[in-house]
Amino acid sequence: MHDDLAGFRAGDPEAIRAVYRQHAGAVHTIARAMVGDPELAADVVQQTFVKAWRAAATFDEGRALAPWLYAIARRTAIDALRSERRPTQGGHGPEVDAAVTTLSFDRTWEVLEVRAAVERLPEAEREVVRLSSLLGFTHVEVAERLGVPVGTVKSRSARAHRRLAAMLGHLEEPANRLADPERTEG
Amino acid sequence: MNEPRDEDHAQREDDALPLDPAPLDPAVERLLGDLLVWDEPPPGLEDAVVAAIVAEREVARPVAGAHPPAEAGAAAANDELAARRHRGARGRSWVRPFAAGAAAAAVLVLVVAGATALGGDDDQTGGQLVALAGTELAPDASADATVVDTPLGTVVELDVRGLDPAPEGTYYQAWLREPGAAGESVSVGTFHLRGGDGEVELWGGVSPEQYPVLTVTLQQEGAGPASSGEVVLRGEATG
Repeated sequence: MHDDLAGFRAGDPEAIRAVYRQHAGAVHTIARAMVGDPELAADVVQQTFVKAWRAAATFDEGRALAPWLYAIARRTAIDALRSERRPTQGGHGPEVDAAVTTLSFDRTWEVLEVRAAVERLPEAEREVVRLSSLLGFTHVEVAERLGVPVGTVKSRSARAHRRLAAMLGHLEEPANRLADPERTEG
Repeated sequence: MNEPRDEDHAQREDDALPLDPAPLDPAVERLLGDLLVWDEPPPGLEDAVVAAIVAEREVARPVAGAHPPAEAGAAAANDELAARRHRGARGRSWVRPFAAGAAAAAVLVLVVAGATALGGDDDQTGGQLVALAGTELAPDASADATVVDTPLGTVVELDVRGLDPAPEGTYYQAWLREPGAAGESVSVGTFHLRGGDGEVELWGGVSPEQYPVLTVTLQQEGAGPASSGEVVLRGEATG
């Protein structure tokens, strides 16, 4: 990562791609969570990486890169929202900014946690979870869509749920957390 | 019971142990149903990010005999979010920062080159004019393009007239093509014109000498990166 960071600072295209591929998904999640509009979110993602490059000389290599990038993304998204809202609202009051930052923070953090956990799932399990949890398909429908037996879908789903429960125990509702005290948090 | 140690092992167990999965915690299940968990940045954004940074780096890089480039670099940095307010939000604006940066880089490079080697001949910085005509799919459309070959790639400024805004679910994509029916096409960017006619800045990584044909196609959202073949505008650099 230090090599990538050095290359990123130097503007080396391969290092920029490496940093982008590692962090763009989460940065994009932050942007979408805060600004909503896909095109504006893409602007925010691009500006985040460009601003990070401009400021890379000041970044302390002893720290994690992700939180620094996320902070830049949040500031960029807020700036984008202010810019977008100013013409239509005839000026932006402080209550608009407060609402934007306060309401989105917890949700954004939870989404990032789930996203990171999902990205750690094996691809076959991830796709089963996506089809069932996001798109609402039944196991039979998932099986038909993937061209695999229903038993395979159930097995993948069961393994994925175990992994997700272990990784995301800290997000569970308090009553469920107390009911399963031996669960390992990831 | 032993846990599966790898995917192959897990695959072999799939049909042997068709377990009903334990339900997830409702809070986790709700989050898994959030599109944001699964949404990915648009294809092409990685290239745009790399191009924007490389272009800005090139602008900021010191040039022998030239003044320190800090101001030029800062000016060319082009805060896209502010610029949107002046340009309007037409098109996929994340394509634009690089175009602006590349154009700035091109201007800097060509101005320096012109000042040092060519005596500042403006013709060297003006690019090549290409007239595009509407095809049978858009017979009332036309466009003028200025194609500037720079050390960083090709900047295309496309001034479109008479082309309908792309319908919802579609967008326009511009391409530089090699001559001939079997010539390769390389995308130079996308736009939708829902803000009306006007100028679009695009960028491509190939030379107009080798890819002199400029086309615009109508593309379907989600249909993949290949050309649809539905050409609405076409022109060729002849100089």
